[in-house]
Amino acid sequence: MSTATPRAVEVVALGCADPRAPIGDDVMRSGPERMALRLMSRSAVLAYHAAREALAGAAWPDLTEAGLFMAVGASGSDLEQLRRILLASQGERGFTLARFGEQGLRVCNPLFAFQLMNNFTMAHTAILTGTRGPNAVLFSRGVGTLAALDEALAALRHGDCARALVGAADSAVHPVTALEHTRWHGELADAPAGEGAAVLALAAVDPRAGAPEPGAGPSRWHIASVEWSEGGAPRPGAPSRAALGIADDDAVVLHGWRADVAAELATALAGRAAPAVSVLSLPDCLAATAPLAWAEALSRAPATCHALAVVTADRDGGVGAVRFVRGAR
Amino acid sequence: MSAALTSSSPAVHHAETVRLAVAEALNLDPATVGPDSNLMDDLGADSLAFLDIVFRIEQAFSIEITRGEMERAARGDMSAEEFAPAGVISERGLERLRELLPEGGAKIAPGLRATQILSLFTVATFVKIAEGKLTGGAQA
Amino acid sequence: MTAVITGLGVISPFGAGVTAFFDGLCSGRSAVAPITSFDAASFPVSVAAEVPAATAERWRAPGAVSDAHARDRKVGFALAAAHQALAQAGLVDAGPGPSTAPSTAPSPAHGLEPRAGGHAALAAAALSLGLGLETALLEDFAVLGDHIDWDTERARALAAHAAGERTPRLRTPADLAARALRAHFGLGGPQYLHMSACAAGAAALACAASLIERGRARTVLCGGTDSMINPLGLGGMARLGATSPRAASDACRPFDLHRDGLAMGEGAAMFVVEDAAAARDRGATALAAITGWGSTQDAYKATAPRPDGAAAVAAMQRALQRAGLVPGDLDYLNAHGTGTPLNDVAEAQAIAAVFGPPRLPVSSIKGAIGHAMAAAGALELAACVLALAQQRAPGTTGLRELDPLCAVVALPPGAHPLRLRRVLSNSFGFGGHNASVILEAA
Repeated sequence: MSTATPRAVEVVALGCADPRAPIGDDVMRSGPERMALRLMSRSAVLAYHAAREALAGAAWPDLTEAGLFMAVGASGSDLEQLRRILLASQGERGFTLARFGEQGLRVCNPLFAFQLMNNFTMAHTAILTGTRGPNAVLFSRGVGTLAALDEALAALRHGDCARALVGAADSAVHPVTALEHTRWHGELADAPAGEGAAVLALAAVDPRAGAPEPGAGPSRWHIASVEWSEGGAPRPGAPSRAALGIADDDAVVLHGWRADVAAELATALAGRAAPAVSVLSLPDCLAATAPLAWAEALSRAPATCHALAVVTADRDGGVGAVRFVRGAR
Repeated sequence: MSAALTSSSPAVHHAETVRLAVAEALNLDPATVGPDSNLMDDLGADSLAFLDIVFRIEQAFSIEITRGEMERAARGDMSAEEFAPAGVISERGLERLRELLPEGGAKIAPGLRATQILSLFTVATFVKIAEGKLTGGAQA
Repeated sequence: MTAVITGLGVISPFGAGVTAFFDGLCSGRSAVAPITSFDAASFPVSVAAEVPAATAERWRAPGAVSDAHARDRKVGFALAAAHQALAQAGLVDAGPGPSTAPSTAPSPAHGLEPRAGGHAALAAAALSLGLGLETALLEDFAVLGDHIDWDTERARALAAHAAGERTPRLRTPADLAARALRAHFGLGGPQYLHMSACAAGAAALACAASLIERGRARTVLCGGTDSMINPLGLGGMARLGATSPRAASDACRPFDLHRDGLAMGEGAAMFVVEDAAAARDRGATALAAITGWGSTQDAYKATAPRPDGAAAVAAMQRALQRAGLVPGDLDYLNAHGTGTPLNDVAEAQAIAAVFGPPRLPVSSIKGAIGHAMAAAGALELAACVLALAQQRAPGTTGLRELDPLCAVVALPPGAHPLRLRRVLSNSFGFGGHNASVILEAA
């Protein structure tokens, strides 16, 4: 399966569940989705929505060997089920494990468990679309999603698969998740919380071969590099432009800014030949933030733009950049 | 059979409750779910759908249906060993199935495995299980 | 570049350390017993393979009982297993390990303080970790009452954050063990946190080998850690009907005709993975090489495996292809072998499809240590490393009468001396994730 020629990776199509245009679950009311919906968390619905759109654009004839690499956030279960469980677990002196075991579990629909398993955010997309190739489902709170892209690129470049979907779906507005983030970070003034998903359809191409992927648009963006540094302790200090793989003349798009990280990055980007830095203000969708920014930046880039670095940050202080270039270089 | 019953009879009520529970679990228009609908073949139920259906019936009737009780709906008091030695249902086991689950029809044939019992279940099978439970409960 | 394992650490239901673990697997004894870590008497399932209380307590991340990192059992397991692995690889001082020098109380960012003293390589080391789910802290939910007003709770959390106080946590963060490992051992490289359910531990090792091969990292701490032996985890699995209804030490009987479900397990296995040449240069001993791996998706059903096993077959074939091997080259296969009716027969058929008529010795260790979920694949690969080192394979504890539908050479309980050079381990997860990894004697 491995190829001697290093292969370039092309962006064939994009799909989004845009946090600014909320997605209902009515898209799931027919066909095979009908049976899956009862098992799906909100994030799983969003992931499938984005993947379906990306696949429609890619128009791949066969998904048997296609890869699927997704980043996911926390589980996002239906709180009404949880409320029922807790209510039934109350004894005279409040919640008891004994009552939970006897009564609480009994009032809970067994399928509730699937909303608690966050790997299903990705697995439902595989089940509903039929991607059966190499895969990964990685936890992310922001830049962790770049690790999913990194794994997808490795699989495509090595020849483990010729086509892959990569992206993330997440919700920062699920009450339990929102409460956790408030506990850790306090009020977040920089970006409102949202929910969404974005998926890129990627194809490995031999840069010397002519035939483009079916469905490949005129943009022909390729992914040149993925670099990031994790947040949290120990943080190796401010990321440098070189460490993020940003070239001197790249157009730079920033998204998801914490003021302290933004200040560090301003220093890192100072003195470049191309000063153009655009800032996106999409809601913070945790794991989904980065791919939403990639999709937004790629679809809005002017035809004159040939190299684009999309830099994202997360609430833990992680920073990462994905560099896209037009044509195979 | 049910045509002879009046609409207010408990049996009709039970059948209707089960039918609606099945429709809800499978996300189907209740009009498409009949008493003789085979859950897997006609309605597309998988093993998880069975969990969901059982849960909804348990809640609706305030009963508990265990895995053992589902098996007993098929083999009565016959032991698991006698019913399906080495996993394949015996001749006597098949006879028992024809008695207890006539809705299985032609699917009750040599080679059927114990793990395939759920493929015989129709909406009416769950009505029987629920009613057995309710009657048993009343006598207890 | 060839990825080799230079350190291995295990926390298992047989206790702390690789010796207790492998001797336990080879003894034919099951660690499945009545649950003691909480009162499960009223639960539909009351047995599991728990890490012994003394071991769990010894390695529990220190702190008050209300601290999430202490209440989430998988965090302490990961720290302890990682310490063993890093010490064997010579990247931290051997010694009593994490819990002897208590960490400071969790900061509002719920991290542990960085610790000095590790090898310089750790500052750039990557982390590839198979992780289980968040642990729901039901007692914390319960104190919020029957009708939780989320706006009020959020306002309370904001006020508490400003005052530096704590409010109920509700659930532990999914990446808590990763945060603890990074902070404790000073890992500064990229991290890959695998959430692919029961395949996560194997996926983490495959990812580590790939990181070495493609030059993304020079040193990777990898493995898996999990415990779902908590009220919601255990209750949820029981409600799904995945667990055996029998409260017996042989609750899990892989490949047995009378198998009726899995037993819950828990634990962690951690590995240090680095490039073979780099390891040799610094004088580290290679325990085994990771030479093949493959992952596929069933893309079929939420829990039931694809009956034709096609995706499982493809995962094993991809692993063989990556290792440059043919099926006849393998000496032993460590099966996923959950002891559930559907998994074992589908896996046996997939093994037959790849390896032909039954010849290859196969066993599952889940009858002995239960199903450790996201840690299962890592624990099974740890068993494979030890099997290669000791030239004996662990049998299938709990297996008495082989299901004729499972046409594999299933090793019975006990130890099996074999000439072992190349072994394969399968991990198949809920949701249809399949991962196969091949290890070779170094």
